[in-house]
Amino acid sequence: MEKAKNKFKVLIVDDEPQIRRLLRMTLEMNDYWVYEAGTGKDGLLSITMNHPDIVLLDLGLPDEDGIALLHRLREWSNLPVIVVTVRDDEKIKVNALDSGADDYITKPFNTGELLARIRVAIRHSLRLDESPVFTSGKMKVDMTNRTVTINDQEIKLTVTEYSLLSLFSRNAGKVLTHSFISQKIWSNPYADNAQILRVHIAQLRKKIEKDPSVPELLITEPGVGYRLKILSE
Amino acid sequence: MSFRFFPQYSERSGLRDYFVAFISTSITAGICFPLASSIGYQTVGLIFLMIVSLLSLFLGRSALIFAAILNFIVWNFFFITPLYTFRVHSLHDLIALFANLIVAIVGSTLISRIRKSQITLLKSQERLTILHTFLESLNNATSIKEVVKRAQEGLRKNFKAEIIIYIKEKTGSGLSGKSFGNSELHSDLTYDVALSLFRESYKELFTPLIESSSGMHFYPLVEPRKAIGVIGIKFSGDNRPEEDKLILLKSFIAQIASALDREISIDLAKEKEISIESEKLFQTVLNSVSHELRTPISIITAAVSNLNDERTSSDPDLRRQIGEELEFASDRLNYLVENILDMSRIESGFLKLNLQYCDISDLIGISINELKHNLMGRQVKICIEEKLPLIHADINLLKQALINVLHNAMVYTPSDSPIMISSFFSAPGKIAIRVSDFGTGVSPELLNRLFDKFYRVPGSKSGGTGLGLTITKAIVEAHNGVVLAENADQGGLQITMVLNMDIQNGKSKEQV
Repeated sequence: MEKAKNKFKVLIVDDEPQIRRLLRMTLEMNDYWVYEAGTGKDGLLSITMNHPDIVLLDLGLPDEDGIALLHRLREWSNLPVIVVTVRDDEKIKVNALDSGADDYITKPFNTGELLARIRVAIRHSLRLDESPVFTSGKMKVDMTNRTVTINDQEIKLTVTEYSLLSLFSRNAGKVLTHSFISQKIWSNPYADNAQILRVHIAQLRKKIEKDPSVPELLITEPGVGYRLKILSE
Repeated sequence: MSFRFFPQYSERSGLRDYFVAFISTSITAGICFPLASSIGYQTVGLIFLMIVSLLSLFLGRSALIFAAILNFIVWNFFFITPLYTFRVHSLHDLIALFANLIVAIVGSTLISRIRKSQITLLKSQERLTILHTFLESLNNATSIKEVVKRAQEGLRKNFKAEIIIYIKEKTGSGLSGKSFGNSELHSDLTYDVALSLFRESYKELFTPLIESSSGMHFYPLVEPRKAIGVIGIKFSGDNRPEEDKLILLKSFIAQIASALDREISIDLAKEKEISIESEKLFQTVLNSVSHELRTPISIITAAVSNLNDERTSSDPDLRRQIGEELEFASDRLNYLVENILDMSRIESGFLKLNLQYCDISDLIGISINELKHNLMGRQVKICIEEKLPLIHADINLLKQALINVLHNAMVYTPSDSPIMISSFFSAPGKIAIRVSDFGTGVSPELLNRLFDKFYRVPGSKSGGTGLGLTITKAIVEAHNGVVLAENADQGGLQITMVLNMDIQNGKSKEQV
């Protein structure tokens, strides 16, 4: 990656040695420097000693609740954290995100997906992509001119739709929870906005997706929120 | 009712008894007085004696003696010469006086004895009737709860008492913390008292342990073979049962113990039966699931050993193919594990809905997205009615329900035949999501069985556990919806999930 010869450092906190081995293999193959920790305690220690650029935190740790660890970490650090969870615990995912996790990934995951999430989280934390123009697939969002084009055709968006899309573009690739979005758009995290939000998302999809019933750009993370995918051209 | 002939018997005589004695004596005297000269005073004496013996049937002892003395005085004063004096001249008359007194005393004693024994009889008869009614009511109870409810009714009616019952643990030697009966009586203290009594219940059966602060009486519930539990009784006010009622109370407690024992044994037997049933089921599942689990695992093992072969690693095309197989096999394994986990979650009763407003088209989109691999370019038509409202549902569970239906449609129809997903208002306030395939359908008599656990249509191709549609049904029903399977006009199978929409929701969407 761009950071002149210095590799990005990833800390894996997971109690399964086999998972750690596999992740190490994958990450090293992709030019990351890897640290490992098998418990939450070792994880925190490794963060203070090794200053990783990103942490992969499994929430099912033997010694400590992952969320509690996240809270403690967030008291003094903005280090990007991706939590690793199993299916069926959307509430835990939302809780982790609200507690300061940058993203999550659900086991079993494929490594391509994981690498993409890591890339997004690191770029975001280092503010590497604060470009005024965001491109994903055929869509281009120009935040200086406040225009959106699909296939170079400008499309008309309402004020709310544009605010949503620019919020997603600024956080491209990251999952945004319902309450986070409501907070940013309406400065109000309460649930009654969740319904309105869904309606706006549906409208927005009709304008930016090729097939709104099977969206490719604005993906639903069921029970958690939405994610704007970064597609290559 | 014949026992009621002596309604208010008591050994003591009331004022009324004396009055009756006085009146009957006066009337007899009034009637006999004009006749005395013709029938003779001795006859009158006999008549008075008759009256006393008659009165002995009705009066208490002292009133009877009073009547006897009164009779003698009246007879003496009005009928025996010299008239209107109390003098007694002859031995005859003295004997007559004693005869009167003796008849009165003997008669009343005899009668009171008879009465007493009758009353004892009556009481025991009454007790028997009460006990019989109680026993009958307990016998008709079909669960522990009901036994306790009826026991409570019986004790409330006959003793004005509230009860609480603790039953022994199924395993272990203590009392279960769950109390039956009037839960207001339950406290940590009552439980502790009950437990200590339970531990010693073999020692003394019918001396209650009285807990001083609440005034409750505790008795062990004991069957010949074992102690079953403890009953705590709270009598209203100072209404402790008297000695004779205590016998009834003890019989009640013994009956409650045996009724509870009966229900506990029945419960145990049922549990045993269920465990045998589930063991059978477990065998069936093991057979079908183990096949399903082993297939992807053997694919993975084979593929990995292929990868280790030098010839494959030098051929990128072969490697890519093996990679695809690996991916496919692990997807299959994952799908299977998720289904088994879902099923056990549903069966355990811990299926909790995480309700949110969700968009049906979104639901369909993410489901298809998740099946992208398996669909492999198969044509999926989506047809969603305009302006469907949001539904209040657990989107992750519904996604799983829909995926299972889609998965079935994919597996059991040729890979080039299309699948159609549609969503529409099926009735006011009801939204249907339908998956139709263009396969051969299912013979009509088997349609209903599709949702049965582990059921697989005979002759269908191998693979699948028979859990998918069962899970779908459970999830949809958890949302108060229904699932229907029917053969469509075009020949394939169509599965329709009908969900309730919250009307208010639709309105609030319109307002936006």
